[in-house]
Amino acid sequence: MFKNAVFGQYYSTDSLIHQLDPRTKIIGSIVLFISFFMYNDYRGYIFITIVLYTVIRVTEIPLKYILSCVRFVLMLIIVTMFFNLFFRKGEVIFTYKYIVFTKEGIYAAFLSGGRLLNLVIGASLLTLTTMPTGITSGLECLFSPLAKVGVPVGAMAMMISIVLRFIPILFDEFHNIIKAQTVRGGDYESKNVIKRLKSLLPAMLPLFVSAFRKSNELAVAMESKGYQLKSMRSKMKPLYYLKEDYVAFFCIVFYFVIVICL
Amino acid sequence: MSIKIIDLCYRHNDQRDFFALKNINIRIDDGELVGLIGHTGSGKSTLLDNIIRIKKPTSGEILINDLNIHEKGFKVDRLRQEVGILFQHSEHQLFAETVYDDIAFGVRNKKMLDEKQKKAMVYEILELLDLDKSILGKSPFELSGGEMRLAAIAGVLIMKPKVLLLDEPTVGLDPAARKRILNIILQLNKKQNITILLVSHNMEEIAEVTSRVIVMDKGNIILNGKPEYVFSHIETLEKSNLRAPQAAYVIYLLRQRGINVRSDVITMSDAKREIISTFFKEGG
Amino acid sequence: MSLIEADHVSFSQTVYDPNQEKDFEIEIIKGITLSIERGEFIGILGSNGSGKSTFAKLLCELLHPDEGKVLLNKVSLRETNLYEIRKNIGIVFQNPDNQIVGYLVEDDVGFALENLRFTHDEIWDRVDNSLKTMKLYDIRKRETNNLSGGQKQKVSIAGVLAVKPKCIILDEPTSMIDPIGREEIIEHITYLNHNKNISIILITHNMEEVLKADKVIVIDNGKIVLEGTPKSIFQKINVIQKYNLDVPQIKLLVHDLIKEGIPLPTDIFTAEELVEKLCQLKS
Repeated sequence: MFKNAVFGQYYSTDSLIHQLDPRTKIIGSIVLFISFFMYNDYRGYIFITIVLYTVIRVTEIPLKYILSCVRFVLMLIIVTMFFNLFFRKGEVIFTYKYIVFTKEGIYAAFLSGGRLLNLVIGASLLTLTTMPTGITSGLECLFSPLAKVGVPVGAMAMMISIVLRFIPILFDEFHNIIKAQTVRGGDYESKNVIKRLKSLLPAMLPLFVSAFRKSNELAVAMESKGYQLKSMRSKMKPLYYLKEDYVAFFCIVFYFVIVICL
Repeated sequence: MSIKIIDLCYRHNDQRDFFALKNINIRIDDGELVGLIGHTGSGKSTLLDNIIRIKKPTSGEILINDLNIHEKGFKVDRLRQEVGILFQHSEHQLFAETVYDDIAFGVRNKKMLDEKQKKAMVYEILELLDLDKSILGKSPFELSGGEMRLAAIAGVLIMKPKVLLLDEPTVGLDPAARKRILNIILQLNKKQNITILLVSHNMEEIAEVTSRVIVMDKGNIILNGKPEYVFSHIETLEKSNLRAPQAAYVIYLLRQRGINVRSDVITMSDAKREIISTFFKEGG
Repeated sequence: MSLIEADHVSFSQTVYDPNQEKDFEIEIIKGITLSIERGEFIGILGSNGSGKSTFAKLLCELLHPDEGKVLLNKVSLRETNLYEIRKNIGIVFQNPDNQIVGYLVEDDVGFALENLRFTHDEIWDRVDNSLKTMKLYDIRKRETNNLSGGQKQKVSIAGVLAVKPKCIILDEPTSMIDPIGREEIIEHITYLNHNKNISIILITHNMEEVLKADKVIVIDNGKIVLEGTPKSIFQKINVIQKYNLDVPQIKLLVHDLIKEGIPLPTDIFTAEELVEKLCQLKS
């Protein structure tokens, strides 16, 4: 469940977006992120939000599911809105005892809250519509020119896919270790947060030992299957653009131009 | 120290319809050595988690010594001390700088005990497990697999539990290490009267040491009785992806062929006796 | 013609002793000589600490012998192209999790083929065949994290199989798997040996798993202490127990019955065989 979520776990549908090349989606996400910081008034915000929700509709993923991915960040959004609402100076609209509401404050609160919300949803869209291996493959392709200047792109991509594969396992092991320490009197149930944090150490060490042992064994296994750090490898699932990708790229560029103009 | 589980149902938080445990009713009396078997996914580990209060039942009750462990006012600390559990591959939980520190972890917070007393407790456990004191100064990671597991067992035993839940304590060990741990289990039960629930895939072990066997399948209990009774139900066991001890198979097959041997045989030594008596009876 | 040969192979490891504060050498393998033919099924029995896993790695160039050499098709591994070695000898390890790289089943089965630079079409052809042989085709798009221990080992075997090696080494492939999964793995291994003529080297501490082997070797303390057919080795029950190995329950029973005077043949391995022979005696 949670252990598989980086932002949002892959949700399979047959939508057009799902079928796009991962590189297209990565670039699209980056453009989207940049655009979130490029507006300062409500017109930009409304346009971007409409685009975002249009994209969500195209992915055929239920809105409810997407919003549930956001709930982890909900606190942060509320805090941001709170600070903007109560601590902005400007034209006073309303006062209640010592609390001052300003027009600028209300405006800024909604804008910043909305921006954060869009950001999280935008980030989730990538992981919701693309498998982790796809994202890794896409990143590897996009960064491959760097290999010419000596950056070990291939090795780093391998590293990321292995980490992705092992996250659930390490999470489970951590959970088991905590269980074992709890029943020996480790303070994970104490109301005192400091105590609980202190008890984390006995759990971290076995986890590290376990992770090292795993990586050691994995390295030997990879070597036995012919893996070599610096050699080229062929690809089982090479990436190639389809005409849908070209259409998507066009849309991305078009969108970006409009945002700049707004 | 008795355990009573009444109509226990358990469902994971994020699964609407799937119940990992369905209407479990178990009673383990003081001093019993009960075996728990079931294929992977039958719910054994979830059941153990519920008993030690790591997971909360969706419905039903768990009573330890007739006290409901989820009732307000129930002292969880006491549960932790009185019900010990050894998880699978327990050697993976070792973390301290020295074996001594790891074993003493369970009692490090006990303010009533001074260092001398704690040391004495550790020595006592070492004697029980037939381990040499030289092991105490080493790092847990220097030990062999079998020794690490014994150190983990020591870490649980130092809390002086009255009940022990053992989740596959012998898995992955060589024959000598397995025998050693099995003997320790028997000793703890017979000499110290510790109530034991033993989860294992090794049917021969279960046949050898337990006085009662509970069989789980897909969250239900399908058999609960003496080992001789449970292991004679070969077909039921096979349907649940389980095996019976080899001795039970031999007897089962002989009976299928019409040979009149007793059906309540489950260990090799009993099988031997039974086969010999049948043959000498018939005139060899 | 022998496929793989170990010729007086020795191997030591340097270990640091914190008490004496210095390094010292431990001899793990002491002069082992062994030959494996094409299509042969060899069982290597040894208890923990016997050196069997180290020997497995020496046979496929994951470790280099300090003395002696390992030969593939009569050529020393040292002088053989690494690519050739990896294409001819595959190895499956004990821990199902710590040897799986791929996110999906099919990804992991193709991992070695990608490393060995097979073409895209070749890879998929071999992966599909391998998945079908190991009966994994239906779950090829499943995440490797959502598999049972037995299924994970099957995936690893499929990955090795896709390379079409002449020999597969399996280092205790079943010791972390439940009994039913264990039986399945042994069935698959036997099938690969009989039907695909792949040499199998099965390392284990459980005698029952090597009953169908052509030859069984017992290793203790880095040396070969027994060698022969399963039948001949398993007569020596007392010796086997001395080396801390699991003797099949049925064998012990037969052994005891024979001691008590019941005239049974010694090459009985399963409950069915025993019952058959007992019934024959009665009639």
